[in-house]
Amino acid sequence: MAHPIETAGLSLRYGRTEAVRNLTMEVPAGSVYALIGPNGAGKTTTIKALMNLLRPSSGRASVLGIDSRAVGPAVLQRIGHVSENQELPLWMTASDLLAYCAPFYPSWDRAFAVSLAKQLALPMDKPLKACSRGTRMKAALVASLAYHPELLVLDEPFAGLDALVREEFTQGILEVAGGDRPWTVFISSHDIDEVERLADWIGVINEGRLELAEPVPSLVARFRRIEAATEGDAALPSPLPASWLLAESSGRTVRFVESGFVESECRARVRDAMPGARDISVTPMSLREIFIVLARAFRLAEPQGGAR
Amino acid sequence: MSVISHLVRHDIRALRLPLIAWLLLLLVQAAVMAFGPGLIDQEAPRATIVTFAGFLAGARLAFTVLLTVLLIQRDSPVGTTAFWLTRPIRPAAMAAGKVISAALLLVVAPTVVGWVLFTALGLPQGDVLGGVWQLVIEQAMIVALSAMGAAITATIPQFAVVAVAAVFIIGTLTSEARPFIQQLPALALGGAGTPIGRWALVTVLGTAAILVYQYSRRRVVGAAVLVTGVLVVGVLSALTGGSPFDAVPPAPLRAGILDPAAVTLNVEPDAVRAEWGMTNTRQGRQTRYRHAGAILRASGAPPAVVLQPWSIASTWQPGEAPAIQWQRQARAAYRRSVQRDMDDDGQPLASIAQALGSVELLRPVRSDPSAYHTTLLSLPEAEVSRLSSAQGPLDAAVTLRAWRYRIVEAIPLAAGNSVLARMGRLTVLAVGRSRDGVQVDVRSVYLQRLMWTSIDLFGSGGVGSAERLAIRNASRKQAILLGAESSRQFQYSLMSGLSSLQLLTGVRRMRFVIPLSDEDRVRLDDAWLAGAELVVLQPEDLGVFTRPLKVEWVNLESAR
Repeated sequence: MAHPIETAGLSLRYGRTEAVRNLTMEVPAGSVYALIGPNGAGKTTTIKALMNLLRPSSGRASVLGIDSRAVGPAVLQRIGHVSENQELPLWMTASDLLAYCAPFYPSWDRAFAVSLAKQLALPMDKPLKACSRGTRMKAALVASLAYHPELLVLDEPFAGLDALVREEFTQGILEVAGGDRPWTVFISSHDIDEVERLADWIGVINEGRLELAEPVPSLVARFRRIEAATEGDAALPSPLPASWLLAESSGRTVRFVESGFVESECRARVRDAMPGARDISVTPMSLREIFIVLARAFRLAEPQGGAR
Repeated sequence: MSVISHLVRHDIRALRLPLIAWLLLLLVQAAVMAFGPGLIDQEAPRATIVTFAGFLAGARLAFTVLLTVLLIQRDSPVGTTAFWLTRPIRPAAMAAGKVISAALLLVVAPTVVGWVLFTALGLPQGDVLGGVWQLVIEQAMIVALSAMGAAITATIPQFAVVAVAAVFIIGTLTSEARPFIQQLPALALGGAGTPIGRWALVTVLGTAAILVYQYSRRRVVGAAVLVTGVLVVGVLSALTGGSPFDAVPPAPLRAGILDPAAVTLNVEPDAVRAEWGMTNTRQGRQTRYRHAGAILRASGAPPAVVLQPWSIASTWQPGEAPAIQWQRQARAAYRRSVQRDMDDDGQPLASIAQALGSVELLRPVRSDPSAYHTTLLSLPEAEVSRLSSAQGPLDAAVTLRAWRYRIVEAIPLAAGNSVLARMGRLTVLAVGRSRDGVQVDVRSVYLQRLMWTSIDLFGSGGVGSAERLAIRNASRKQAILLGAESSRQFQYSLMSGLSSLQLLTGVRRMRFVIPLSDEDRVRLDDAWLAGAELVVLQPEDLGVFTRPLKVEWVNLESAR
């Protein structure tokens, strides 16, 4: 199996609305892959297609080597799934929930479930309907990790959680990731902050299209905030180099984000585009800043036909 | 199997609180049915208990629907957010779990309670089995219909909307479209028995298939189409098949009962009445008809035998026009209405008196047991208006069904004794003399038959009308027929539309009346009552034979 999750030309429609458009994506084995994008970008729809909750309009997707449309009990025994939209059986206690789930999984590890619940400070005997949203999500996480899934799919797991619970939740996932069993995590979120500590791969989805997908180190390495001074009033080069995002000029200063940063060539390329440029400063960017830039860039680009 | 039993246990745990309420409801209802008649003798709680029993029957129906919907929608096959969807549960196992849970909790549990109740009430074994089977069908139908609705909805309000639509579909099919449906060929469903049995079979099997489909495919539109199909086919299966007793032709006349050739039929020409009427045609249109009706009298049969016109085939010769053929297949006549304690014409009193051992019926007997209103001819107005003359002689072949009364049970008339009548078990509570006869209070427990069976066809007078109760003093060779009664009863179920049998318990006050003018002739003293029996009489079907009838003149021109 090449990749635990693969899609090729995947599209899904709700009536006239195309929620996912021609999505081609590969989630490497062993990675923690974060699919991020604004609300309504198509993240949840993509996950529903992967879990065989929705049928693709066109294209295909595979999960653990199985066509998503054939994902059934045998594959689900190898997948953990936690979603903010999931309707948990709220009449149960966490203990009931684990007892309910256990018989469905041959690999259910009771001791591991108990230790995980302890680590997450999960109240076992309180009905879930009386628990906070965070506690419910933790219960769902334990019920999705206790059988050592090969693939964990998390759909907006942090939405609405306070900082402490988010930390505990993340810690729980990291705990498993640090174990000796190989696994892959596919996590969707609309906020990069939530997944920054976890992800080693990032996919950015916008309006149903995958705008980029690459390892976090590579992404961080190629984005820089550039600021340069000019001789007279600054004028942006026309056309702008394709790798410049959110370019703007103010007085004698030009600012932009370089999305193809190469240390040795950066300054020379700026001077090539703007011959009078001087005092060129290069600032590294956090993942969060990169995500915001990308989100703004996509929004700006949209009226011009979707080109970035 | 272990996964299915795990799911069933989960369902039971998930619904444990409403299920406890459900079981309590079943037990309380059973207690009211069992002990209510004892309490109802006291004046004060009478209305309260009757109302409470009705409330319990309604609550049982509502609980069955609600629990079914909760059971399905807790692991809904609608939408993409149910927890079970991303767990390794085979959809067929989930569907099977739901079917088993519903069957156990909502069919088996009330059936077991019903079986214990019917047995404890002393119903005969046949009635216990009939009542239990009725409960199975009734509960299964409600559960199946509710489950179909729940399988295509995600919430209770959505279910309510679908339920209203389904009721509309069934209502339309069973009323407006009935004439069209009944001319369709009957759906072949093997030996599925009664119309309600066929409907239940279609509905239950259809629901199981829909649950499997919907849990596997989760396509609401497709499932909704299937639900509509099951509803339509279910109603068609019930309506296109005839009633079971109509499907069985009556047997030929038993040997030795009477000589058919000696039986003559007579209609007084002056008494032939022509009337207007509106009738629904098979195409569902209301059509105006003209009918010729008369009182048909048969003579030549032994006094113990009552002859009921069963079918009639007429040939009418109106003027110079070609002869017109007309026939009516079954129940071609009905006994003229009789007020039991005032009017004997049309009552089979001679047959009853013979069955009681040739006793004297303490009534001013003026028996004329063979008088029946019979339709001789019925034609559409359009057809009649085309005739130059709508008058002429009529020849008919009338098939007569022979009946005679027989005693099915007799017990000494004393408090505490009980008798099994067609209307259930009657236990005598008190016997007393009234100003005009004898008053007997009984506690009654019975399964009311809402679908007619063969003996209800006697006289076509309605359910249970064919059975007669009498008190008899055999040594004095005298008997008094039941003249009037009042009753208070509790219903076990409100689903009369789905039932062919329905359990009722209650108390009845029966009055065996003798006219005051007989007081000089009859000494209804303590000795008479001490030697009296309570007797149940039922008609026995003796078979059919055909006789000719000649009516000199039938005039449809002066219809009223």
